[in-house]
Amino acid sequence: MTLFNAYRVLAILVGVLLAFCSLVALPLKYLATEGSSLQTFGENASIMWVAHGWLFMVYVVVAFLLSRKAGWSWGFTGTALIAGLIPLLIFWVERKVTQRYRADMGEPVTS
Amino acid sequence: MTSPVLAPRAWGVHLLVLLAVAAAGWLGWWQFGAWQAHRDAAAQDLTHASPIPLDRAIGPDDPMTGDVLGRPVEVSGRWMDLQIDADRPGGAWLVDFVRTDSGSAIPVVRGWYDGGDEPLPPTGNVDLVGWLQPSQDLVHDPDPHGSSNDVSGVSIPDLVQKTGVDLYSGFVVLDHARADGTDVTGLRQAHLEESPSAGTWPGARNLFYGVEWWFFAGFAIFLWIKWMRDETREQAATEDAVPSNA
Repeated sequence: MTLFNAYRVLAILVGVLLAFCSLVALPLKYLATEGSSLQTFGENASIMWVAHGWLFMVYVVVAFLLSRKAGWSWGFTGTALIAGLIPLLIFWVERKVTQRYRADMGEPVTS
Repeated sequence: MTSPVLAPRAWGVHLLVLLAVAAAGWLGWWQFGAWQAHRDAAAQDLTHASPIPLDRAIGPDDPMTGDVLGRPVEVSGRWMDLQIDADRPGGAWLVDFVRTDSGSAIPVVRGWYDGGDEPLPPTGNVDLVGWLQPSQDLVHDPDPHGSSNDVSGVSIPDLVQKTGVDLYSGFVVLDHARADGTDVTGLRQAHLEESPSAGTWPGARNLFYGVEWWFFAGFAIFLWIKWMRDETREQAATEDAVPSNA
């Protein structure tokens, strides 16, 4: 598995986990009626934050290695790293990275 | 010419790194503190605390709260001559009922029973000590109104439906060492499923977060050093490019 593929998989996993935690689990935990099954679900699902955090650590390392290999600017590198903490931003970053990568490889941009 | 990492336009970056490292370091420290606090709380195992009267731990109509979970309580009252088997893998818990002065009854798991003649329900007045436990999850009962005296767990709603008795919101697991005359012949001590030490998982979560934050603090420092090297090398490259082979 190339660094690029590893990056894409991690970006999507981190993005999905972050979106789930912040847009589903968090509102349910704090906004749903106390003691209701939805609220309990939100509370139990909050354990996914730990999964997100640890995957994000791996993502940070892989994204950094890729940034050196692909010669990203410091600005874009910073955005790509921070994107794992801002809901939904990572999907945009992943698209940009893929476009750049395909362009560099001389492949037509399909996504 | 001065190094580019000392130029005024680089100060913003330095400040940003400083803030990021301070914030991540502090958050990590805070999470480790929370983890430590959880461990201290778990170490105070309430199951060995001295018993308090049942009505001081929980009222007949109160919900069960976490601070009395697993706590030994003194139950005084009268046996109701009513017995339910709570089926469990490999045997059953014998559940009997003590009606207290409050008028409500508390289910008492008298012990673990795995064959032979089922002991009869106890009768008469009683003073016993046992550990307070929350109602277990309601398991689908195939025969809720039937004559069978079996249930599949100590679920209070289930028991209320089965017995028609007004019950507390939890139950008690009898401590055989402090059964005070309650007949436990043919029964073994039932083990607690819910005790305060079950709370180590949220503590572990804090530990995981703490490690993460310190990793990010370290990574920010690493990025910062890389960036300074890049800047210095870039400048050296541009300076070299002009005079070489002139």
